[in-house]
This record gives sequence, structure tokens and C-alpha cells, in this order.
Amino acid sequence: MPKIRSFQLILVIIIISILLPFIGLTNFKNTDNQKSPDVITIDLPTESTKNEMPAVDFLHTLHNKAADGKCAECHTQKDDAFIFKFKRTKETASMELYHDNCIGCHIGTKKKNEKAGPLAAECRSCHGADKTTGSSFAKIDFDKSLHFLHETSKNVKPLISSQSDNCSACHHKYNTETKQTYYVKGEEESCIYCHKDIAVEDARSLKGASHDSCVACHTALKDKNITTGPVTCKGCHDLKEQSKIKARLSKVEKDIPRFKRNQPDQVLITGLIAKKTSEKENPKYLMNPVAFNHKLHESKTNDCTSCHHKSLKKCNDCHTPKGSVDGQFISLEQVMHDKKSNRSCVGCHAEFAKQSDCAGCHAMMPKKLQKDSSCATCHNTKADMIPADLEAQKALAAKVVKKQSGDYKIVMNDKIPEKVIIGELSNEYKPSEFPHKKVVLAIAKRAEKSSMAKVFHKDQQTLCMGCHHNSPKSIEPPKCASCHGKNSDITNGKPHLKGAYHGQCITCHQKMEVKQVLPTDCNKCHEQNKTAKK
Amino acid sequence: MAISRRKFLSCIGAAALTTTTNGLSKAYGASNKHFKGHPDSFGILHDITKCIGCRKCEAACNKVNELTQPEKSFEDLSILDQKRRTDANIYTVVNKFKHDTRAPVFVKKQCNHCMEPACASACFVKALNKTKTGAVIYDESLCVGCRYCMIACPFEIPAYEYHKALTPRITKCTMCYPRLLEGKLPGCVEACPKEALIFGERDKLLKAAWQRIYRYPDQYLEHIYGEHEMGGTSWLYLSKHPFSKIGMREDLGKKSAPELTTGPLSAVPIVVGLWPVLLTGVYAISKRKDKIAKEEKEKAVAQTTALAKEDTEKKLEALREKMTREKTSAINFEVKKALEEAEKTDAADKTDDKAPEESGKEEN
Repeated sequence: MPKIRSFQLILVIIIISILLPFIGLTNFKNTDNQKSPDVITIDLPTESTKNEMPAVDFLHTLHNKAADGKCAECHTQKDDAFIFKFKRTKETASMELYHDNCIGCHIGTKKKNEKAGPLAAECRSCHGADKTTGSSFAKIDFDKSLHFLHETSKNVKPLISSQSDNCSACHHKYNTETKQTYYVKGEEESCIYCHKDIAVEDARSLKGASHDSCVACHTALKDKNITTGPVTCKGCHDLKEQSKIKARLSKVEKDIPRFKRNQPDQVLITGLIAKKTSEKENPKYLMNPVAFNHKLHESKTNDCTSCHHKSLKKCNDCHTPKGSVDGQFISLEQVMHDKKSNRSCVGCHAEFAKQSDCAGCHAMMPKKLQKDSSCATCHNTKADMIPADLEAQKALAAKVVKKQSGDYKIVMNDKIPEKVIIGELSNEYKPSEFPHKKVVLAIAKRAEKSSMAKVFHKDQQTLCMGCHHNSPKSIEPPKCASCHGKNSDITNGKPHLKGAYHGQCITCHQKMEVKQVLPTDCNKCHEQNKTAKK
Repeated sequence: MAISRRKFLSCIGAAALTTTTNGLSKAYGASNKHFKGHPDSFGILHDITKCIGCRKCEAACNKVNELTQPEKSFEDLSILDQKRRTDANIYTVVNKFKHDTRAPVFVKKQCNHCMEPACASACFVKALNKTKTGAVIYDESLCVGCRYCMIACPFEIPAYEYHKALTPRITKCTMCYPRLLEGKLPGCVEACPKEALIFGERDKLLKAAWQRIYRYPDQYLEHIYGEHEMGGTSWLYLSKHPFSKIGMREDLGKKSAPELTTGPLSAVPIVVGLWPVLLTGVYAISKRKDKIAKEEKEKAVAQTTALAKEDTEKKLEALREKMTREKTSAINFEVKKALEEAEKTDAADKTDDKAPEESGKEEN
């Protein structure tokens, strides 16, 4: 008996020793593999030149749960609202503050025989501890639809109850002398104009301001058992939660009215003015102005900051035609035509042309300076027609914009060839029967979704020029083989006929994401010729 | 005096070091010039953004080089999911690289036909050669099968026919050299439906490539791979994605392999030539040391001996003088005594005058 027992014991030990590491592993995988959006990195500015401990990744949700959701455990209260800084209001954070309060609380919890965080001397449990797999934090964009939701909410109340709208609940201005905020009707601006990434003397950081205002308001409403916005990190900063919000808002998106900020519907953007010879003379404009459809552009952007990056003033208040200090000496002309900025007209339009509906043609167009003919598309009003009166200018702009959007002419259906046989090179493969009309109509359908494309293309014939490029616009453009030879010098940038055909068709299919025709599916376009000499 | 092994080696090492460092610091005729390739040599531009991964180039390569057919046909594109490299029977491969969620990127890999090939510089029988067409070609009749070229190539291209026991060869892309001589395009270039490969004079291709970069700044990196890599290659590449992320080495630098090795290698003949001189020198020095020591010793011994001799002689002389003096004084004494005696006798006998005179003469 004793012999058998010891044998069994050994067997059990062996089995356990083999399995033990795996048990640990499976546990590890199950618990720790999820990223969460609530990781707050506490990284104080360097206090001494000595080697300092690495930053602390603080898990907010875990602590929030431990505190039973009571903000007051960690955050101080000021005028019924929480200041979302750790145990302080305006002071800068110090190491002592964190050590005393964090470890103090942990000790208290431990005394109650509850599960508690690391204590003193367990430095590395907080500092540089690899507890998390990174943060999944995502910025939330307070766009038109979220704005609309707050604008129409009964729970967002204006400062003075007599006011008809609730703009004053959030929007404010700041008096630098009295150090007080105040509200002026019709001068609301975007938060980011004052609240930057980093706090400055007279304004909190955007992060500070938005948490103090948004989260405080939400928690206050929640305490009164009123349905309100998110109060946890995850509620706003988790991608899944964000998509839920978006899905909910997409229903109301179409009904979103314009912002009420006295902005024009259409406006004339004028450039340089000639020097006046006498006081009475009307200003003489040197550049054909742009009749700009402000209303339409508002509907195409998420919020005002897409263009108005520093304030809601007019562009040429800072970016004057000749440049000024306020506009950092970037002139009106530069700022509107800058290809690299996505706030400029040209830059934003070029960015738009990168989407798959446009990229089929536009991706294959080489970078070039503006063509002479394309200037007039935007500079669509004659300079000598500009009235002196601002309202009359707006009326003129509206007229021009309306005329321009109705200008698009389509090509008559019977003028589009049904099928084109491409057999110039057929050898290994039989000639390709190219469904010309089908392709033209498919391109037209996608291109004409956009009102901008219609204005810039002017008419449907422009779409023909996507493939029949580099020749004057015509209903009967030259054939590919007219320019692309079979054996010409290829290093001058012009592909051979084979490269031209495949380049045009396949690249367009790739860029427009036409999934039905794979680039490597040769037989889809031309059947293999089994009798051909290879 | 015998020289130790350690001393011998350190001497050789020091000698080698001085000659090499001299070699590096001095501007040699060869390394001061930059070889820009044969004029009008050809190249191929691979525009990675245009490649669709159809494997037509692989099929064409297989056909024109009369290689054995692979198990799976070239129309099977599933093979692109593996990372492949060239081998004895495959001169070129197309690899697929996935980039975020966008469409995958396809990159063709083959011999890059360096302007100054590492393989050719490593080959000590000149079996690999850079021709004026730009192609780096292989002459199996010269090859000794050392496979140094395989180790030298930074792109890991040359392969070896390990399966052949008696006539193994090095194999790699020839840029279709035989076809070039016939005025035909390389097989892969001819087969590419998208003109992702274009053939032409390397200089013109470089211009064409830069033109593409300028005209489509969004679509290309401002970098032509092969313009300067390893001193430049005949095969040039354009890409939108960083080359290091599509399986191409970006750590190779701009110097060609021969350029990198000229310095140290140029020292080799000097070191080899120096050895006999150095060894003889070391031997001669130690020998001379022995000789000098011996000579010095002999001299010292001779000197000491001479000194001792002199000393003894001096002593002897002194002794002799002393003895002579004593003798003389003894004689004088005897003479004096005799004279006194004679005077005594003279006084006694004045008649016998002549007798002492005669005896005095005799004494002197």
C-alpha cells in the first residue's frame, strides 16, 4: 500500500506541474486582453533632476466603481459642480498630493478588509506597471448633430430663463479684466478658439473645460434622475459607444437646421481693390469675385471649424488681399488656393476628389497648376458687376450660384456608343468587348451624386475626358491607339498601347473599388485564345 | 634569443593594422572615382503602385529561361500569400504585402543587376560579370562552385542547383541577356500587362521615374530604390509605401560592395608582401642582438684580461726593480765590505795595490 500511494502522489505532482503554467496562462489571456478608453496617464512635470519614476497609468473606471460612482471621493466641488482634477481646484499637481491621497485611500480600504490598491513601498505596482494593453481612448467630435441634440434639449437651460434659445448655457465670452464669463447673443463661437490643447492664462485646456462643463452637467442631471448624456469615460471616448451615438443621431441628421449665427446664405468673396482716385468713387475690384454658396458648404461640413479655424469672422478680416498681422501675412489668394491645407478651397476640393467616386479619373490626373479655364468656375462673377451695397452683393451671389448649379448638361443617350471592340492587340487573348455605355453611365451615376462635381464638370462630356484624356473636349474623341503606340519610347512617360488599356481600365476599377471585376481576372474582359501563337 | 609566438603574432597584427589604416586614410586612385555604370546601359523600372500581382512575369520568366514547370500553375494566385524568394528554378517571385485595410501591394523580386555587383566582386574566377548592357551574367564554364556570390549578394538572389550532383550551377535572373542581344525585351517586361515594368536606358528610366514622382506626389515616395542603393542598381523601384515595409532592405547604404571592400582588400597585397620582409627583419634583429651581446661580452672579457695582465706586469716590474735594487744594494754592500776589507789589507800590505783594482773591475 505505501508503495502505491507514493507512486500515485508522484503522478499527481507531475500532472499538476505540467498543467499549472497553462492554468495561469489561460487566466491571463481571459482577463487582460481588452483595451479600455479610461486609462489616464498621470505624468507630472519633472520636479528634480534625479531619476524619476515612470508615469502612472490610472484606470478611472476601476476607481469609479470602487467609489460607488461618487465623484466627491476624488474630486472637489465648487458651486455645485465638480472640478475634474484630482483633489484640487486650480493648484498644480504635486507628487505628495497623489502619494498622500492615493496611498492614504488604499490603506483605509485595506483596513476595512476590502480589496485595495498598492500601498507605500510598492512603487512599481503603480509606476510603469504593465497592467494595461494600451488605451483605446478616442476623441469625440462635438459635431452638428450633437450640437443639435443639445440645442433642442429641454434639459439644457439658458442662463436667463427669458431667453428664447439655450445657447447661453454653454457659449460664453471672457472678460480679462473682471475675470468673468459673460454671454453676448449672436457672437457665439466654437470652444476651440479659446480652449486650446494646453491651458493658457485666461482659458482652461479644451480637455479641462469640456470635462468640467459637459460631465458636470451630465452628472448633475443624472443625480436628479433625468435622462442625460454619458458620465463615464467610456460613454464618450469608446469607439463602440461613439458609433451608437452616431447611429442614433443619423435619424435626425436630415432635419438638422443651420446654426443660427447670422451667417450669409451666399456671399461674394472679393479680392484686391484699386486705389480710389476720389472719395465719391465706387470701389473698383481688380479680380472677378467668387459667388460662394455658404449655405451649401455648411451642409457639407461637420462644423464651422472645418473652415473657420480661429474665429467665426470672415476669411478676409484676417487674410486680407495683401496679408496682415492677424492673418500671419498669408494673403487671401494664398489661403484660398493652398493645395496642402484642407481648410482652403482648392485643398479641400482636392481632398474630396480622392474619394472612390472621383478617384477613378482624378487619381490618374497629374499634379498641375490651375488651368486658365478652371479659374472661371469659382471666379464666376464679373468684377464690374459688383454693387456697392452688401445686401445687393449677397443677392447677386445668390443669383450666380443658382444659375451655375443648373448649368449641367448631359450627353444625349444615343450619342454614347453601346459597345466598343478592343482588338488592336489581340493575340493570346481574343478581342475585348468593352461595354462602353454601361461604363459611361456607371461613372456618370457616381460622379453626378455630387453637386460640386456637377458644377466643376460643367457638363457630362467632361466625364468622357476621364478616359479620353489629353485631347480637347469632344463627343467624338480620338482613340487610344491614336497616341499610344505599340513600340514607342516608353521612358517619355507615355505608356504603350497595352499599358494604356490595362492602366486605364484596371486602375480605374481599383480606385473606384469596382469589386465585380478583379484586376487579375483576365478572362472577365477578354477570353483566352487557345489557338494563338505564344 | 628566441621570439615567442605571442610576440610574433602581435608584430604581424601591428604591421597589418598600420598598412590598412594607411590604406583607408590615403585616397587611392580606384576609390576616388565613382563608377556610374556603362554609358547607355539598360535598366528596368518597377512601378510597384501599378503591379496587380497577376504573376504573368513569373510565367514569362519560366518560359523564356526554359525552367521546369512548377507544381501549381502560374494562374494560381493563392501562392502570393506566402513570402517567397528566388531559388535554383525560380529567377523571379512576386510577393504580396498587406497595408492596413487598403488593397495589398505586390512587389517583384529578382536580381537587381547592381552597377558594381557584390557577387562579381566576390567571384575570384570572374564567372559573374557586369556587361555593358547592364545585365550581370554568369559563365558556368568558369565557376568553381564556391558560392561566395550567394553570400556576397545583399539581396539574397543567386541560388545554387544543389539537386545536381555533378554539374551544379549558380542561377539567377540574367535580365534576359540573350534576348537583349537579339533586340528583344526581357520576358517579364514583355509579359507585364500593366507596364508595371518598363525597360529602357537606365538614365532615361531615372528621369521617367522622377517625373512620375513630381507629377503624382500623392502616389509615390520621393525615393527611387536602386538609384543609389549599393552604389546603384539597374533595376529601379517606385513605391507609395516605405520600402522597408515591403520586404526591401533600406540599410544597405549608398556604397557599392567593391567600394566598401577596396580599403581593407587593397591592404592585402601589402600585408602579403610585407610578411617575408617583416619576418626576416624580426629574425635579423634578434640575431643581431645576440651577436652584439656576444661581441660585448668578448670585449669585456678581453678588457678585463688585459687589465689583469697589465696589473700583474706592473707588480712583477715593481718586484723586479725591488729585487734589482736589493741585489745592487747587496752588491754595493759587498763591494763596500770588500773595499773596506781591501783598505784594511792595503793598510796592512801596501805593496799589493794592483790586486783590489783588478777585483773591482771584475765586480762591475
